[in-house]
Amino acid sequence: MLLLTLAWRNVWRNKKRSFIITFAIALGLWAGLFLVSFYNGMIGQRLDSALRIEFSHIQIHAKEYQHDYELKFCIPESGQMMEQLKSKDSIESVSGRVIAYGMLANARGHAGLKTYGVQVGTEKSLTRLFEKIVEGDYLSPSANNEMIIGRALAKKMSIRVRSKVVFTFEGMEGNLVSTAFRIVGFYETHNALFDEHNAFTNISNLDTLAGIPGSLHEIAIFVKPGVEIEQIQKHIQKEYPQTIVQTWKDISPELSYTSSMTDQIMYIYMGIILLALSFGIINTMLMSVLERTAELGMLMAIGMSNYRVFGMILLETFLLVASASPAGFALAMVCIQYFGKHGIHLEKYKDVYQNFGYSSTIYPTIQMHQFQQVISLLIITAFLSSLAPAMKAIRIKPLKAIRK
Amino acid sequence: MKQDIVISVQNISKIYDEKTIPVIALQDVSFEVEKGEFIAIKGPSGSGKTTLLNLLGGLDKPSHGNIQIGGHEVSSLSGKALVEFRLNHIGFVFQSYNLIPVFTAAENIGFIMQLQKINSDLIHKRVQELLIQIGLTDKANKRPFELSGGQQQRIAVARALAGKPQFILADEPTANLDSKTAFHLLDLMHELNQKEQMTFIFSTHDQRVIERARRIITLEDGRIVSDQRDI
Repeated sequence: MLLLTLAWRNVWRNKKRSFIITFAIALGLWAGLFLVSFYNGMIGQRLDSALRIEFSHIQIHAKEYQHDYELKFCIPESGQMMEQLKSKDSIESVSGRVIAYGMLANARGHAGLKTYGVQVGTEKSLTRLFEKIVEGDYLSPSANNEMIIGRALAKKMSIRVRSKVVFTFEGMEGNLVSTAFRIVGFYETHNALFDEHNAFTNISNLDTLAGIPGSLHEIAIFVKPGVEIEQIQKHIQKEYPQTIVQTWKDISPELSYTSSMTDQIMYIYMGIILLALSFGIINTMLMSVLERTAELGMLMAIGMSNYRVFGMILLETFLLVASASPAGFALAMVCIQYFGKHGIHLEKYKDVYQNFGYSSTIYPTIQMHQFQQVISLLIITAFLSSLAPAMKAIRIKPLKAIRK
Repeated sequence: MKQDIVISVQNISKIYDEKTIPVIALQDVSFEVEKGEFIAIKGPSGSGKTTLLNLLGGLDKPSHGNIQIGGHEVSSLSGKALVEFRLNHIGFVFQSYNLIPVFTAAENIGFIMQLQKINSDLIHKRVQELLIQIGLTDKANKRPFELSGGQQQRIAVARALAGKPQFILADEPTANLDSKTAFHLLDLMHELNQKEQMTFIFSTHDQRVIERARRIITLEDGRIVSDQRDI
C-alpha cells in the first residue's frame, strides 16, 4: 500500500508531463484498436460474403469431380443423401446444385461462365444471393430458362434485364449444348471476379439440358451456429466415403489463412504502436528517475531497499499506463460502436476493394479476446518499459545522490 | 558502563582513490559513543566530518578499521542486510531536510515505520506523539512545500526518531536555518535526547550547535585532535 500510494503520487508530480504521455498512450491504444477492428470488419465481411454466397460451410462433390469438372461426375445417390443430410440436427440448411462450365454469348460478345443450376427454394435458405439482386428479380422456382448474372458481367457484355443470352456448354457425350436464357436479374456481391464469372439458373433447366436429370454435382451445407464445422465434415465424409467432403477452409485455403491472420495482425499493429509508445514511456520514466536522484538516494539511505525502489518505479510505470488505458479503450469502443453501426464508406475505392473480394463499406468490429490480448500487451509493454528506469534507479549510490 | 556503548569505532581510515592519487579523508580514528550522548563532530571543511558520518551511517565503508554498532560489525554488512540495518538502527537527518515531497508531514514521519512494516495503528499513535513533541500537530496534513525550512527539519527529526533507531546522525542540520529556527530545532533535539535517551551525533561547524553539545569531537586533516566530554 505504501509503495502504491507513493508511486501514484509520484506519477502525478509532473502533471503536464504525465498528461502528455497518458494522452499519447490513449491515442495509441485507440488507433491500434480501431485499426484492428477495421481489419476484423473487412475480413469478417469478406468471410461472411464468401460463406454465404460462394462456399457455404461444407461442400460435397463426387471424388472425380475434384480433378475434372465434367458433367458426368455426379454425386452418387445424391437424392437420398440430401434427405439424410436435411434430417441431421447439426445442419441448418442443405442445397444441391448442378454446375456447367461454358460460354455465354449475346450480340455484343461472349464470356466464359460457370453456371449453377440451383434448387431455388432451398438455395434461398442457404445463400444470400437473392439479397444481392441490384436490378431485376431473383429466380422464380417454377419459371423456365431464367438466369441471373453479376452486374459486372452484364456491364461487360452490355446485357440488360429481360434480354436474351445463349449459354453453350459441353454435354455428356462431348457434344455442344446451346440454349437461350432470359436474364431476369443482376446481382452484385463484393467480389467483382465472382460477379463476372458466375451465373445462376433453376436446376431443372440445367440438369435436363445436361442430360443428368435428378443428379447433383455439388451439395452445399450450412451448419447450425456453434457447431464445429470440421467435426461435421469428418462425420459426413465417414458416412459417404464415395464422395469428397470439404470445408470452406479446404476449398479456399487463402481465405482461411487471411481469416486466421486477424490475431496475428492485431499483434503486429499493436506491437508497432506499443513499441513506439514504450520509447515515450521509457523517456518519461527515465526523466522522472533522473530528476529524483537525490530523493531516491535519500530513500535508499534511510532504509528503502533496492527491491522496493525497483518495485516503486515498476508501479509508477504501470500506473501511468493504467491511467491512460481507460480513455484509450473508451475512445476506441465509442468509435467501433459508431462505425460498426454506420459503417466506413470507402466508395472512392470501391473498384479496388471489389477486385479483391472486399466490401467498400467496412463495419469495424472487435472481439472480447482481442481486448484481453491488448491488455496483456499493455502489461508487457509497461513491464518492459519500466526495466531501464527501474535499473537506473537501483544503481543510484545513496552517498553520491544525497550530496546533490 | 561498557554495556551502554552504542557505537565503537576502532582505528578507521578512509582513503579515496587509493589506486591513483590517494586522498586521506580519515586516519586512524577511534572513539566510542554511549547511549544518550549528544555529540558534535566539528572541524574545518575537509577535516573528514561528513566522511565520518557516512561511515557511521553505513553509507560508505572504511578502508581500514572497523565500526561496531549495537554489537554488529557494520563494515562487514552489504546489500539488503546493510539496508535493513540502516532502516532499523540508524536515523538520518540531512542538511537539506530531504522530505518526500508527495507525502504530508504525518506521512513523512510514518514512512520509516511503514518500511519497518509496523502495524498501522501503532504508526498512527507514534506519529501523533511525535507531532506533539515537535509542536507541529496543526501541520500534520501539510506537504513539505507548505512548510518553512525549520518546520521541515523538525519533521525530518521526527522521521528519524519514529523508527526508534539506536542513534541519529545529523549532517549539518542547522546549516540552512536562520538563528531563531536553529535554536528551536536544537532545543527540540536536546529535549528528545533527554526524554527518549536518544543518542544524537552531529557533524557541524555551527557554533550554536557546538555550544549545546555535551561532547565535542574535533577533527583536523582526518584525525581526532580533541574529544571533550561533559562540557
